[in-house]
Amino acid sequence: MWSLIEREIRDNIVNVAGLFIISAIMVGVFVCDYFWDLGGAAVSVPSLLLGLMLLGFAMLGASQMYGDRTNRISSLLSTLAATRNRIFLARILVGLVVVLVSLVPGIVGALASLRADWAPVELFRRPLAEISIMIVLTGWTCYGVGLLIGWSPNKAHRLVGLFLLLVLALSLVVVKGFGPEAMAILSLSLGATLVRTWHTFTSASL
Amino acid sequence: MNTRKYNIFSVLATGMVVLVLLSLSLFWLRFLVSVRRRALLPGGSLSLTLPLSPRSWGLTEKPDPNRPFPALVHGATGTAFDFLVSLGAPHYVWTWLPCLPGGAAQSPIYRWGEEPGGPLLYYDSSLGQIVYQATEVTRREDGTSTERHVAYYAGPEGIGSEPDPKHGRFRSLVVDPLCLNPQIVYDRVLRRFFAIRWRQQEQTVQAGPPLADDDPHQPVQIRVLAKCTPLVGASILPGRHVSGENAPRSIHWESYFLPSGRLLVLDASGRIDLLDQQKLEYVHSAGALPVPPGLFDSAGANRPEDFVAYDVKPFYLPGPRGDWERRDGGWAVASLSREGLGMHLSVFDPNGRPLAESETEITQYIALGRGGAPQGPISSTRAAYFTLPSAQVLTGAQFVLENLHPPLLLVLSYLAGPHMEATAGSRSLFLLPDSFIAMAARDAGSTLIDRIFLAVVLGFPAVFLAVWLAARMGRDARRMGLSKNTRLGWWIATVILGLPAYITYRLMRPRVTLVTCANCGVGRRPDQEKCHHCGSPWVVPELTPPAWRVLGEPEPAEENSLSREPQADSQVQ
Repeated sequence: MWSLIEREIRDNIVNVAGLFIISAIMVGVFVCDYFWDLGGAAVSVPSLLLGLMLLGFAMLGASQMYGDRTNRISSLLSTLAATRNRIFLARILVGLVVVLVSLVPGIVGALASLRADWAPVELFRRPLAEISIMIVLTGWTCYGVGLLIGWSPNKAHRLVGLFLLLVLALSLVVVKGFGPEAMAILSLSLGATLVRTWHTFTSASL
Repeated sequence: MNTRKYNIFSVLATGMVVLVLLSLSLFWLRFLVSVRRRALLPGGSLSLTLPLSPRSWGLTEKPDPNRPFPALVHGATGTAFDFLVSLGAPHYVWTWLPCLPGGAAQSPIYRWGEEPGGPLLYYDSSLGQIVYQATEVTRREDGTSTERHVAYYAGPEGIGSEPDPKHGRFRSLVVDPLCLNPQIVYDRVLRRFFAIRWRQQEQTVQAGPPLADDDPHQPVQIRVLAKCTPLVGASILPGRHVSGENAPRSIHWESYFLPSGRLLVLDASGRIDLLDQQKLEYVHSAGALPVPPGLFDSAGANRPEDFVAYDVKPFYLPGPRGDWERRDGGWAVASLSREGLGMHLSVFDPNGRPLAESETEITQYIALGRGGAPQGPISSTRAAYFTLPSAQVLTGAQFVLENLHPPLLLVLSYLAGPHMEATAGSRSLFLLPDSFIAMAARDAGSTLIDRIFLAVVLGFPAVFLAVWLAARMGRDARRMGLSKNTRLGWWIATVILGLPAYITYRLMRPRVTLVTCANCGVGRRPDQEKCHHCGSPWVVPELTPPAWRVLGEPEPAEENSLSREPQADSQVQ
């Protein structure tokens, strides 16, 4: 299993590294705001970076599935006594962990910056927790959208589909907000996306 | 591997994804239609003005032309884009930020100064007490001042500088967000009002008499009675402009601090009551939230959750003897309908007697040659749905979009719509509390049979579409050779869930190219051994053994009997 995970990271090192770099930049912005009070830039720049990261998560998922399909990686790995379920599980684990590792430092940095600028942060514990969880769920959902659309052989279908599904997925947060109801719908959508992708992957011919 | 079980999971997962994506798409289309409909209103918003005069209050003194008097009550709604505040993310932020009129429904923070030493007032659920933190400035005799950070903890039994269980616990609070001395709070569990004085030298908690168990009062807001104030607001005009020895300044008639010392309390039933701030007892009823005009009869739907927005503005009148002698003038109440297309404005006197009221109306004109003649006013809601330019197109578009929803969700919208909060329609993906079918459920002017009949008529296109899609799905499934049970399951799902189920079927159906059956001539699946129409197996001539056989070969002769003559001929069939 570890070898599968390692291979998965190696095959998508560009995407993974890019996401970690964006996350580091976001943390850097919050650190600068903590010491020098950047004002409005402390909100606008991380917001832009968060948007880039969400797009990056979708592209990571899409490149994982597209790379597998075009390079027939699963066919090769299946000859090495690795089942498709394990291959898929390793792929998903890498994606979900990369999303988490990319987002959590930024969220922690944002909370630290808020705490420095804004006294009653403890009193907003619940909304801050809900917003943080929603950001992670949104990242995972964008990754799931990428997995879903990455298997398509048609390039135009991939590009347009990725854009449309991403916009719809993000609009879910605008429509439902950050409360428990939104979390439930996003979690169900994420689970459904992963199951659908798993079925497509395991039932496709090698 | 149980492929059937895993396939069911995949079908359910695909269906979930399709349902969410389709619901989102339909939501945004409906949202665009509603924004466009609000933009049809003249100026993109609604406004009303009610004239007032001293005679409205039965005042007999002659009006002094040198002393302004509140002459107009004005109500206005926001523009079409102000309704964005009802969407989930902005609404979530709105309900958590303190000190926003009509907001902060979930926030335990009642006052929050942005400066580091600014006052902070919040409810600590772990202590069950209200906490007040501030920086107090003490001036000395020599002119200098000292600052110290203070914190006070108030419970129903007392107040102190340390959290003390002896002060008791508040359970579920409704709080006056505006005044701190005294701050009026109501505890829903203890069923009584409290007046908390936070000022350093006079810290007290005064408890009012408990409400009786059968008392119908259920306060939901105190002093500042408002909801979603970007969407509707009431104001008293003109504002006074004072000039002279002092610098020119404007004085507004609106005041949440009435000269009589009383304050307004909004009840869960929509009734407005007057509370005596000293005795913490109800004085009398002071009016009610007026029901604005909707598409159907909404009589009786005047609970706070039945309105998208409302605003209650108390105001005062100048006294007879001096500019600064004030008396209670009453309160203006503006309310906005669920659709955001109708507004009602009312004015009540200090005794709760209605003085004036009006609803938004639009005058229709019928074309007569070159000009037009007024036909008569109709409510702004009906005009926005039927008579304004492009209104009928938008209404038709909304009707079509609603009927693309699954029939099951439309039925649930009919059942749940009347009980859902008015702004929930701006955040609801699956249930449609603002749909025509939900409006029919809320129609107070019809009997139950009439409402059900109307709902059936309004939902018929959705059911027809679902049945038609189910028939198409059934034909295709039979052609593709799905089993009877599978076809039945898909048929039921399509009838119940409509378009999302059909799309899911199209995504999950077997992707095989049918081959013509040699026996019946109809397409059959190449991955099945028998034709699913006639049951005939595959006809493959090259695999069919020949009809003739060579039987009964003679035993090969031994070596010693090589001289024996072989048999004349072998048996051939």
